[in-house]
Amino acid sequence: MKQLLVTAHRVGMALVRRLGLAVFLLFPAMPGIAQVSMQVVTKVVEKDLPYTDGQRIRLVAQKADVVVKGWNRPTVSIRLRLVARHPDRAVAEREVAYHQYVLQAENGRIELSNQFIIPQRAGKLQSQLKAIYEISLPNKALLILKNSFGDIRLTDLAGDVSVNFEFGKLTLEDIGGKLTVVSNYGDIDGRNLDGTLTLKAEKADVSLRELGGTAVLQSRYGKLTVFPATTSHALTIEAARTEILIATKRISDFKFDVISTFADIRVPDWLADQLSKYNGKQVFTYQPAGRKPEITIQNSYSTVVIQGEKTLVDR
Amino acid sequence: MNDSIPQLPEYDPHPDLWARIEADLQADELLSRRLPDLPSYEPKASLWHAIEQNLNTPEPTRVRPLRTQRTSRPLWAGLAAAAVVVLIGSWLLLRPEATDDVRIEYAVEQTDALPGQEPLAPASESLADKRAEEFIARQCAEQQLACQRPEVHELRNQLASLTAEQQRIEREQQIFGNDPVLVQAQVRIENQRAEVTKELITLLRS
Amino acid sequence: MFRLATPTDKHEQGPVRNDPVRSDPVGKDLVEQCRATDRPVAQRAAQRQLFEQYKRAMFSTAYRILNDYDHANDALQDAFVDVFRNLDQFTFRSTLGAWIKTIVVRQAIRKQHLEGRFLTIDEALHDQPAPFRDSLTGAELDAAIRTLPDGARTIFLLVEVEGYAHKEVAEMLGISEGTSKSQTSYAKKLLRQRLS
Repeated sequence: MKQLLVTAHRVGMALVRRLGLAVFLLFPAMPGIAQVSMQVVTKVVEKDLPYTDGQRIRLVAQKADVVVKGWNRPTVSIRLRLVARHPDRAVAEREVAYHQYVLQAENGRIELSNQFIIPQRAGKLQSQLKAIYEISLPNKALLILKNSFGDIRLTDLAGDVSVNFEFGKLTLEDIGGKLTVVSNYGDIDGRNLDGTLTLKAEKADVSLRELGGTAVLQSRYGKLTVFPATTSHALTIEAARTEILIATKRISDFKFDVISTFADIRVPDWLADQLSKYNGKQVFTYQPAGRKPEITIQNSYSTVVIQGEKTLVDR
Repeated sequence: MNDSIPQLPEYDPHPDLWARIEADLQADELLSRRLPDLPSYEPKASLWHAIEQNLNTPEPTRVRPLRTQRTSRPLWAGLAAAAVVVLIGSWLLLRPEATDDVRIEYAVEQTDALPGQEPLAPASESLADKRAEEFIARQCAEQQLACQRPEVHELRNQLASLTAEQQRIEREQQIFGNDPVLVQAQVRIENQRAEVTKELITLLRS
Repeated sequence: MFRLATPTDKHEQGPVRNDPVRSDPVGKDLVEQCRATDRPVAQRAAQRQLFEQYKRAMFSTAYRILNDYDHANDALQDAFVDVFRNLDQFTFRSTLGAWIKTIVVRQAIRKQHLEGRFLTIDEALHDQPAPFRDSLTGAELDAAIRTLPDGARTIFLLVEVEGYAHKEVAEMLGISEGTSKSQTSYAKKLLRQRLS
């Protein structure tokens, strides 16, 4: 047993050392390292496509930063920037051509995509390649968006939006209608969401401010911080191993039904008697007078914190 | 009763025959009682991803790796692949992009980091990872019960999924080099792997 | 692509034993969503849901038959790709679970290259193995099943655990019904020998 403990300790230390090294290598900005001039070659593509109601827009992006904004014109307007960065301009110019894209209407759908095609004989890629989409589209549009390794920002949309992404960050602002988000390792920062939100996140940090409407949030591993708005109809959280913080302006604006397995639920002191514990489970049920939107939470192995007007509870 | 048939002699079975029959019946009964208790198992966490890849086979947005596995693929496969590349290439060239408004812009940026450095960690797992894996495997071999606990199972699955993701990022790095977004993703996975590994080791020690 | 088994009456009736797959039927809606090629996002989500619902039961079957974690994962992957590509052929005559299970079993058998190769009774058996211990647990039984020879193990699992008839097992493996029966009883004897 002692031998095992020693091994475990060694393994742990090795991990810590390795992480330290990772952090060190990630931030190489140390004194003595000279600045480098980067040649940035950008191919800019601009296109407007007419939009008819009910038409589906599909954006399949790779390594792209995507900004999508709703507007009230019946047009999808796209500016796509395909970027190559390298100290040698000739290299960047050659490699910017490895970007390929599609921006077109096809079979009644609007298809937008980018990809990288690197010739076999070209050897190792030398530049940093990245795509940047700036898209304006009718705010009631149907949008399906897929991306990896890039940031996404969606604003002023109220149609039916479905986002599937991994890594990078998704920023959502002023979204109504129907919104479905699937994230793997991608963080989410939302504000003023007031529609039907379905979110499935794995290993993501999710923060939603002024969350109204109906929301079903599923999360495994990661963090979930929600500031529910009084315009909320219902908030359901099905989580595992997720640190959850629900911060309300006033707890009595909501009805709570919280179950946590193998971890604590923390509530303000004045509500401590609504908290019961048995068999590794904790349950917090709180029903203020009147009809109030219901917050239902299930979680395991990670703490759930409910905060109210007096934010005395620390995480 | 029937006198016309000569009386054939009768024989006694082995005295413990009933015991054997009973043992067979009991064994069958016990077996059918225990079979529903067989443990169930979880497939690899990355399996859905693999299935999805398979369902997506004609997906247009794939990075063509620089040097794809030059294994013992037959010549026809190479030719077919070349034909596909040529077809895609000509499709891309001939596609009516003429209506797009396209221009090239140039700019210069100052930066600290050089692109195209070697990826930050070696492509293979580190010794620490190996030792952690060995430790977990050994603990599981020695304490099977501890390893069957659902929380251990769950964490091992997570670890497998993180490892698959890590390998995927390494493959991307083979193509894109030390791209900052890939390095960020790699660090994120490394941190989570470390966290899960530590938690798993703590659980197995307790 | 291999031929999909026509489900028999036995499968229509559901499980012989307590089987989470068959006691938890999937609604028609989900199957329809899995077929909805015109709604790719919803389709993929439905496919994922179906996979999540069945993966554990199906993997356990494949894993027990193949006795190899990686091969079992491969079999499950191929099976589910087949399931989604052939879902149009599913007519609700059996439960979906039974239909998927047959595809998984066939993939596992393929991976094991069992067809036409076996099946001798080659291990010496005591005349009268002792009875099972009463304290026998599922985990112990599982471990003992893993030690059985490939052929006997597969047939035992298909008959005793999955509830297929000898006739179906014979058809799936290209053997006679008699072989299926004798291998099942051989497997049981070996188990008793190892677990007494």
